[in-house]
Amino acid sequence: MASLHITRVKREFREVVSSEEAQKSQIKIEIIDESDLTKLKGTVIGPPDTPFEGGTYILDIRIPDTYPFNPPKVKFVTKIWHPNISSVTGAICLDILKDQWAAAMTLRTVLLSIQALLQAAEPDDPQDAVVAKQYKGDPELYRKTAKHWAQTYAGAPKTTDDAEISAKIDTLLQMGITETKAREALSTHSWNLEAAVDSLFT
Amino acid sequence: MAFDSQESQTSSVGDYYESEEEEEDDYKYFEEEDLMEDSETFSKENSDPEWYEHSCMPSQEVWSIIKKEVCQLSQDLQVTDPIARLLLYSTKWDKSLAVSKFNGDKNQFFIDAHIHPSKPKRQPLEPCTECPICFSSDDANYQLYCGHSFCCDCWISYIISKLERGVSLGIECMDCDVLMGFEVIDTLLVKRSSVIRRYYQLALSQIVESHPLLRWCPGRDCDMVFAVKEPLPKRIQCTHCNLATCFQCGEEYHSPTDCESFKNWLLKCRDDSETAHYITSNTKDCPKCSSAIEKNGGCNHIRCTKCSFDFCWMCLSAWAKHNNEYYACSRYQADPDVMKAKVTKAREALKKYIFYFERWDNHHKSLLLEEETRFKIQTRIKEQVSNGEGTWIDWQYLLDAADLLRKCRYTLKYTYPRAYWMIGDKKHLFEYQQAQLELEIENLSWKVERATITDRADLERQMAVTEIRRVTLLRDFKHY
Repeated sequence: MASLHITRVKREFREVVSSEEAQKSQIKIEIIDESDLTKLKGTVIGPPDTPFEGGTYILDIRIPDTYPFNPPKVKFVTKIWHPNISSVTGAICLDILKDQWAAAMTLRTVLLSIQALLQAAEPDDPQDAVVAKQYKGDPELYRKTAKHWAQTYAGAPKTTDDAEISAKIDTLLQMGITETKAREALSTHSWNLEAAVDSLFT
Repeated sequence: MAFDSQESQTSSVGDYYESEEEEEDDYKYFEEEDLMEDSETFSKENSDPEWYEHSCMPSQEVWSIIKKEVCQLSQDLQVTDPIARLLLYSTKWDKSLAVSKFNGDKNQFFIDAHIHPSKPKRQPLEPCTECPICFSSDDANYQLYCGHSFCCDCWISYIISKLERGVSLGIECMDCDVLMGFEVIDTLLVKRSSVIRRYYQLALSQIVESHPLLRWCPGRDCDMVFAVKEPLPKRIQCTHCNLATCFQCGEEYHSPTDCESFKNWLLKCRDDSETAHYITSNTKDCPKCSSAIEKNGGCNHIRCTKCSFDFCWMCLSAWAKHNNEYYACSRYQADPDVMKAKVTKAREALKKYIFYFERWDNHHKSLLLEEETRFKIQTRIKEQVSNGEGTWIDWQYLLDAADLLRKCRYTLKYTYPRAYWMIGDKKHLFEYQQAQLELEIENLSWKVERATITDRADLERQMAVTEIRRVTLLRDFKHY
């Protein structure tokens, strides 16, 4: 008989596939390698009325041997600008993935909780302090940045075309900075070109 | 014989009082107070400021204390023992708080204590035969009081995974925040004695750590627990490993310094001592920004890397004033300028620290030497006894003297951190008493070392005086 964590993964995989949310293609789960069920690929769609709307977010899911008594390890592969998710590593700060995990939870509940996190950020419990500061201090700029990231990395539909943003990134590109680094530096410094340049060259 | 020696000691204390009128008044005053007070506790505390009621027990005995506390509460509140234990766990073993909360919003208290779930169940659980964790229906399911039911194998694996992370008393239901009581653990783990042992081991250590009136002995590999009636920063001594510590902070016993100052002092010693010694002996401070500068060769023209000030290593004044004297400074400073004052201030702080540290360290080293002295005294007594000069018991007072010396020096050592952090008028008095104690200790030390050849009455008088100085200082400068 297969060990408990594998049995669970198989069952939960079926649960996600047949779930109502998956039918509406809100969440998705895929097996990367049939012989290794401890590595999974999850997908959540950015919920409506958020800067992430329409974006497709890929998640890296690792199942520990002690699953389901310990939580799965989940992180974002797709880059995202969100107070509870690291803009650099994709690490997620979510209680149920840490001490609030309960063995009765499933991959479906995990994916739905992550989607809920995209809908309602918790800036008081931040993973990425820079984003959280911006979220609280300048919500408009946060939305703009998050949307820009969603359009760039998560394939969210381009509803606005921000020429100013592109121009600033282009300026940095000409200085020999990679696009990812340029975007990170500009986002971190509230799209202030001078501050971004300073941070990159000191 | 032993009784004799005891008696002669007390009589010599009396001698001392007769010769010192001032002290005699003191003595009488305390004696009267002692007589007036019926309570033994009070009088003991008065005559010995270090006296602290505490017991030291092997850790397993803690269970009987806990059992008693749980029993009392369960009787008072008319609840079951497991519930009473969870209530006490939530109030950190504060019984009166548990009673008042119970009489207040009882429902909320039960939620806070994780006896009732904080959120209502997500869906009404139908009695199902399949375990929601492993989906097998082979095993009998076990239902916790919250209504969540899983198979025993899953419960056990879950408990083991929690124990591996050091959680014991705080193990919650797999689906909500209701805590699992001892009786649940006992039922589930009935066949797994090694797991159950691990559980109770962790639970015990968690109880001792969270209980305000209990403390583990900090001695290495020591399994003893202290129990007190009132948590105070006072001396507790392990009956097993002999280590004397402070009940409140668990550090070595540090009266008359308070816990926080002592912690700061240790921190400072760890961080600063070696560096400070090096700095004083090898560096000078920049006259402008006071950073410490080490001269590593070359000429006397120094430029501070921090503030770029150019100055002369010899006279510490601006290099610009030096005109052509490049390699030697012969400028005589008649009036040191303001810069110099600033430099002195920084150095002064360092000097102050070194002053106290040296004394602290010196007494620390002397304490170690006192161990040797005690050993030497023992050999000397052996010699005397084998030469037919008195019996072992006759010479016992020498060991008493050595023990007293050690005790006094210990207190003296710990006066230095206190003095270091002390400010204001009290400091003068403190340092005066400290100096007095220091003086008597040195006298005592001298006499102990030459004990076999000096007068016994003289030594015993010295012992009494020193102990009085010590007790007075401790009493006058209570640290709590």
